[in-house]
Amino acid sequence: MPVHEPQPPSPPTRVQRRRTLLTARAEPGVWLLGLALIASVALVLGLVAMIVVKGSATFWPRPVDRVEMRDGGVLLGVPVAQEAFEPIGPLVESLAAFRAADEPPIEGAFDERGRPVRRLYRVANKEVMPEPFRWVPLWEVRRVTRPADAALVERVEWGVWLGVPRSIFEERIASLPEGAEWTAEEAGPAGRIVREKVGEGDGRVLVRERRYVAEGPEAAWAALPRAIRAGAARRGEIRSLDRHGLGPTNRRIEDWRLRVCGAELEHARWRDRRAPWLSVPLLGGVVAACLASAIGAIVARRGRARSLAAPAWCLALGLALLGALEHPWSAPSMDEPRLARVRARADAALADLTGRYERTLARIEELRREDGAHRVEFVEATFGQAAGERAGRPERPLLLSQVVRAVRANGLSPAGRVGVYLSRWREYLLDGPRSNNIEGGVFPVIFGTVMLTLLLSVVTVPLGVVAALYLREYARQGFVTSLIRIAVNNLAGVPSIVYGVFGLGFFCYGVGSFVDAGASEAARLPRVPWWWIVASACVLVATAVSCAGLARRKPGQDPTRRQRIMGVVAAAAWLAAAGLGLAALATTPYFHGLFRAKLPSPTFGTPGLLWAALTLALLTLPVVIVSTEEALSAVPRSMREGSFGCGASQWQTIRRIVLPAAAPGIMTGTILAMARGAGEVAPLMLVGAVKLASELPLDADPPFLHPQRSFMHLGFHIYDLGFQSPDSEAAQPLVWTTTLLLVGVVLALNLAAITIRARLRARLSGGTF
Amino acid sequence: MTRDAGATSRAARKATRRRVYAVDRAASSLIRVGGVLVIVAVLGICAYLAAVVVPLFRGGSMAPAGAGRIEPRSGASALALDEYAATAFVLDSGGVLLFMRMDEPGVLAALPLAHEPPTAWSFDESTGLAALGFADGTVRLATIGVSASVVSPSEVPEGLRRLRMGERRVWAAEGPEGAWPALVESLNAEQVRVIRPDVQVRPPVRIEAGSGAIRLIDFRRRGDREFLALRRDDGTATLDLVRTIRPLGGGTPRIRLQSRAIEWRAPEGRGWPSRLFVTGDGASVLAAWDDGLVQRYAAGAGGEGAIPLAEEVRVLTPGRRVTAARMLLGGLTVALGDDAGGLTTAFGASDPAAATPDGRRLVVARRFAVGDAAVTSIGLTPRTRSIVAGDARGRLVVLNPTSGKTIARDAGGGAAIAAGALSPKLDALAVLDEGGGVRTWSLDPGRPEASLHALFGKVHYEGEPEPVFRYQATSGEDAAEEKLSLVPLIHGTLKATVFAMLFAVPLAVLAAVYTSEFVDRRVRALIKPGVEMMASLPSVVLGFVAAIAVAPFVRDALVAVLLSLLFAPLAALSGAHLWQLAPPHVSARVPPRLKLAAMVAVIGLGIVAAGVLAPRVERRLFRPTQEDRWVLGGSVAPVAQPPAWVGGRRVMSPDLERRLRREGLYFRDGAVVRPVAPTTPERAADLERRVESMDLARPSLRRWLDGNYGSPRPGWLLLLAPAGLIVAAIGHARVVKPRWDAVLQGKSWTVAATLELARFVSMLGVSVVIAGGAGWVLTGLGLDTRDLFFGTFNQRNTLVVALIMGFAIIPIIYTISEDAMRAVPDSLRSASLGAGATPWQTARRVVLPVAASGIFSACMIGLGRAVGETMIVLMATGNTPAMDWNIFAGFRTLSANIAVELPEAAAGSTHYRVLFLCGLVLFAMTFLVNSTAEVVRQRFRARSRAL
Repeated sequence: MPVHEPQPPSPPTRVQRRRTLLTARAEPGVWLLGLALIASVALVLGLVAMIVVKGSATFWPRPVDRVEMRDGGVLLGVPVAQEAFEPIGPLVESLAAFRAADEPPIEGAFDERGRPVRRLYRVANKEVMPEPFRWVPLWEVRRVTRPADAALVERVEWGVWLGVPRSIFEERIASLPEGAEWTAEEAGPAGRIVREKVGEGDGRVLVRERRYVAEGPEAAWAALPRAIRAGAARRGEIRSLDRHGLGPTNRRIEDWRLRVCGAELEHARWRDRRAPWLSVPLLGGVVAACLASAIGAIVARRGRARSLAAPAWCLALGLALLGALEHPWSAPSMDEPRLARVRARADAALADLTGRYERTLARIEELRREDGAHRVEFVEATFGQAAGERAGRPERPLLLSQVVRAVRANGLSPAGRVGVYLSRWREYLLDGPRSNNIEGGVFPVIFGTVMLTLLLSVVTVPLGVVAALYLREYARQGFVTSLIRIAVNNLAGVPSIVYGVFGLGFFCYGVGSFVDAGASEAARLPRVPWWWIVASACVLVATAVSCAGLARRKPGQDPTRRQRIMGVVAAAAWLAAAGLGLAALATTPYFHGLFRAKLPSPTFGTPGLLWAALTLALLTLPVVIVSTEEALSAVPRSMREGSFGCGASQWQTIRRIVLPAAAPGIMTGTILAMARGAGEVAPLMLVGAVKLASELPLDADPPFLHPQRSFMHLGFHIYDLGFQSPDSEAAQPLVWTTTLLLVGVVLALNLAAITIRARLRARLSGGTF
Repeated sequence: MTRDAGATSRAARKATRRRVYAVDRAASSLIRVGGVLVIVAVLGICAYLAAVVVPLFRGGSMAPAGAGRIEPRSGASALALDEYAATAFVLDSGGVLLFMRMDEPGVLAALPLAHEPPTAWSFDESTGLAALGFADGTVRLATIGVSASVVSPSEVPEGLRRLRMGERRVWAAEGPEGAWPALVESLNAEQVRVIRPDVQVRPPVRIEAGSGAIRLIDFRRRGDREFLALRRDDGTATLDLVRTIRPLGGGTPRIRLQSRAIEWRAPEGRGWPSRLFVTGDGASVLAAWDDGLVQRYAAGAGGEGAIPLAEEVRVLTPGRRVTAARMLLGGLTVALGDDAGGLTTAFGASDPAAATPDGRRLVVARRFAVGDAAVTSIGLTPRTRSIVAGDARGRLVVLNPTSGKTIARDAGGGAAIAAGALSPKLDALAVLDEGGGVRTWSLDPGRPEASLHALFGKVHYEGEPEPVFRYQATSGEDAAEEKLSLVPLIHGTLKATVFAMLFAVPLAVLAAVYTSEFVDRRVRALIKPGVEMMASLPSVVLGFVAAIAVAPFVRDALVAVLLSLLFAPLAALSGAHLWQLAPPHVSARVPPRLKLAAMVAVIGLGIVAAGVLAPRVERRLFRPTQEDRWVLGGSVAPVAQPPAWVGGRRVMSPDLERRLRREGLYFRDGAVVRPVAPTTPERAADLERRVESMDLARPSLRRWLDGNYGSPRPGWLLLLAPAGLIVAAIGHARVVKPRWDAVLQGKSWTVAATLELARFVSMLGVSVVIAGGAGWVLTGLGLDTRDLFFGTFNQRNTLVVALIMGFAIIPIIYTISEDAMRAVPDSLRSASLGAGATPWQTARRVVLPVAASGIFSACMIGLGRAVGETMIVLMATGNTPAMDWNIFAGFRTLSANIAVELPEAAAGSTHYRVLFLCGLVLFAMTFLVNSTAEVVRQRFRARSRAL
């Protein structure tokens, strides 16, 4: 379609000028339209700019202020915000007192209109400070300095600590015989050594020996990088032992326990099994009937009643299936001796595993002891307290291995700042979350999002393409197909939360509990025995097959009225048989669930990755169907006809000609579906996204992929951290970064889709065909 | 569908044909089956949701479980079942407690609660409290229940250890005389349950006031407070707060009564009331006569004197007589059964208009029909609000008085029902008839709390003066009614959608028109994909931004935001009028991009102006009136005769205060006062000084919205300013424009443009006059925007949601309507332009009409998206299910409700199914909207193909 160019006002000839009224140009109207566009674009740009600015500023190291108050108080804090305000409550009196005292205020204590200004400081130090943030009215401040040795310490637990490093030391407890000589202080080759008696008994004295590696801020800063690296190495070793030593052992112990539990359940079924004398005649009858109908089918095929052959085969097949399910030796065979054998094996394995567990635990304990020797003191300004090993234990200074990073906030060179910034980004993208998700990285979150997106596209793309192929290439275009199209378009507009509701009810509580425990008593249809359902399904299949046979016509012929009716009957019978088949499956008494031993804690019968992926697949299916259909319809008819003309079959045409030509369109649909899946949160809140998943859905444990596990998701992370977290104010900067990440991912996917679509359009309209 | 392969040699053809044929057949059937299955599965969602919802509307059923007989007893009796529906208690009018098992009804043990038959008794099976009054004026209180414990089989006697699963046996406990037998039930191989009566009879207490036998008594508990109401032979009536004092080292507890006399005033010509009740909160005492007259004595009216009579209400329709009466669970609602088979519930509700000492009124809530014979018993259950009513012909109805749903019925036949009870889990039912026959049923209650009426209608909840729509699915206590009306949620959904659409549709459609008709190709190639990409911005991001950045901004700069909504268009219009002062041959030389930049600058100027003017506007308009200042400064006089509706209130809601203010009165420190002008200039100056220093007196839109001060007029001005502008513009277009064109016809460009500018300015003036005038009239009529569209300001409010959700749907509406306009063939445009029409005329008269249905369908699709949006409303509103149109308040939508509550709801519970119903309603709403859009779009396609 040629693109319309806006009409520039034509050169003003005399005649035209007189004719065209000023009001006909409606300049005000045009400006209103322009306002709408400008407002829309400005909103878009403003939003994106805000996310980019706020999201990327999070990790930039900021200076640390030392604030001395007029009342003698001191605090260290990172200035976050500043505003003019109207004092209320006790602040009114404080301001009046300040004005009365007539002391010079610090710079910026009052704004240009004379209103008092307050500044928000992040004071961190969770253990000693009542609030993580504090508004400081600036008239109450005597002096603000930026001490060069102030440190912003990021800790593994308990968040950020602001303080000044005092010393780094190694601490050991020595047990000396009573009366042994020890000096309280001596200068060792590597540093001062201080000894102190901490206990005695049994004729021995416990002496704590502190060997100072560095004393004073300057020396501490010089020694810190190495010490922190060493601490990180120790932390890594302990964690790796914990994760790769204890974790798998624990899981294998649990596996064995479950195996025994499952064997016991099977044993219970074995005890309650049907008497064999009843099974034998039953099975005999079924086998005989099966053989009879098979023979009947063969006879019918040979003879004249050919239309009876198909139903007879179906009957035979159904009976054979029933026989196979019902035959006596398929009953559980877990008799007493077998159960005993399982128990014995489990006991042996458990003994071995428990030993291994104990050994690993002992090793970890040893490492912890070694790690406990290396400590560092960071002293905060307000109370002069050093960061403790744990909250409420200031006398045991912080472990070096607990320090993730100590930033010398006011003494950084520009390159140093960039280095800190980059290292924080690295940690953010590659590490797991720390201290209640408020710090650390989002690697599991990204991983969960990617897994979900991949899994959903693996499900949704083939289904969507098949459905679109059917609609566009196989189905007869008519009332029904247009109805289906309306339905599909409609489903694209159904709110995502509705899919979430469906997913929770159907997948998690329905299919999931079926997989876990088999058909529960409640799910079994009342009053209709299972046999009847199976039998009616067989009858329906037989009807469908024979009607389909009757409806078949020679190629090129128009169907007769009878053939049409038979076709409809066959389709209806197929659908009904499928429904009954599903009902039979859902109520089968032969399936006892795959994870019954774990009950009552559900395995699949609870929100998890698989169900989330299936729910989102359903949600994005219309997107894929619609865009694939569009791509298919954009493939020119002439190409198909050319292919047919060369003698290709329909499948060959689709595979070799149509699908390659439509591939970019299908790809667009896929990417759009992935983008939607990656950004959708509402259904995930119901079907599997969690605040903190301890395990990744893909790891080195067999069977490697664990689709039943719940997972973390970027979108849900934003919601949870920003709104449900107890410390959401401190978490906000990180949420902005996560937002930036999510927006980046989604927009990149969309950009890819738009680019591919543009290329596709250019190729199609470029007349290459 | 195969076609002959075009191979040349015969052999080759045969060789390929078979394989190709087979593959083709296989692919074809696979794709067909797969395609149909996918489509069926997608459509199955709706069916599944409906399948989960349907049981909500199904009734329950009951099936006979057992029958037996206990010793015939005379008089009325009461019945209660235990948690596991294994045993039942019967308290007969002789004061004897009978313990029986449910599966084979028959007395296991009997315990007289006192040595002589009581003259009055009451029993509340929801708490197990019984009270017996005696002829000598003493009262005995008792708590009746069972204790159940799960023990290992080794702890029960030998013969009871190997029971079948679920089997129950009697364990006649050995031990001291009078020990109760227990019932032993096998749970599994390792556990048995022992159910044993647990009856605590407190020591007797003598009533000091009055003399004679106790004739009427009622005993009730709510929380940890117990109330006892009684009436003695000489007419003395008291309400007592019961304190049970347990000595520290054990021993028998003592009972202390804290009595208040009831100022008894029997109606003219009547004797004794037949029934006496105290409400669970101890605030009212009800006395009922047999003809349905109920007197309410208000104990909660304050003061320490005798409890006064509050009101007299005829609860039953005339001609009917009370045959049974009970307080329902929670002790606030009384249910009266009458001789014509009717059942009526009534409760006290606080009502501003009530002329009673405590501001409450006894309201008749609902009437049910049990049958045509006299209702003889009403039975309760301790945990749900369902009841069972039995009548004189032995007929039974189990119903839920809140939802009005009849759960099950039994046609009965036989002796009149003397007492009935439901089990706590609502899975069993037992009745005792006049002849001593006991019958039990197993009950499938279905979903008693849910009915079409409860879900979509106004329901008269306990304590409300009239039926309301309310949603409150989870509450702390069993006694609370489940309020399941979806109407507030649907209202919230519509409120969010309407405001978002009000913001988004004009912006998106106008922007689309501009992009399609007035912008050059390169700019469009840049803008369109950009806006499209915004369509896929995750809504959680928008919600986060709304709540963290936009909501605080709107809170801090509320006036500026509201003003810029008005000033930005005004700036654009003024800019346009100034722009066209330049003659066309000059303005045509300006490149389009420069013009766009000029527009941006002018609009930015408008917004800056709004920001600068905002504090002044706020100071000028939203300040306290002179009267407000007098009241704030304390210059008031008490009012002798406050309006009747004020009653004895000590607390006022903001809208009640506004109602008072409309009459020139104020509410201060618990009293109604009138502002008085300070008498001397010194006093006035002093008052002014005092008020100036008060924080509350500072002009602020938010304080004005709270309704603390100020006249209603500025609100109308704010609301009517855009309306006035639109009215003025329409008036101009209709009345002035036709003549105006003739005026402009001969004029030179500059003169015409100047005249246009003058017209624009005059139009602004007219619109201000219209807004001011209408505001004056409406204020004079006593209307206040704060009762209608404005109200108390919440940080997370509709305005924020409208802005951000509007932002979320702008891209969709924009893209689709832009596409619709691009689809209009260029030939039409060329024809129009060629005939001398300006681009504006072409756009308005040619393009827009042709593309109208496409634009409409774009709007509908945007609407569908807004209806179902979850994360934005979840994060940016307070999620309170309120029913108002206040733009500064929050709301709760269906989708947010699902997101908040479904993760906590137990699978299969009523709450869970109601949330599925929310999903289904949402599905239906969007289905309707989307189908409309789809049908319109198909029509549009057909039309544009025809063009």
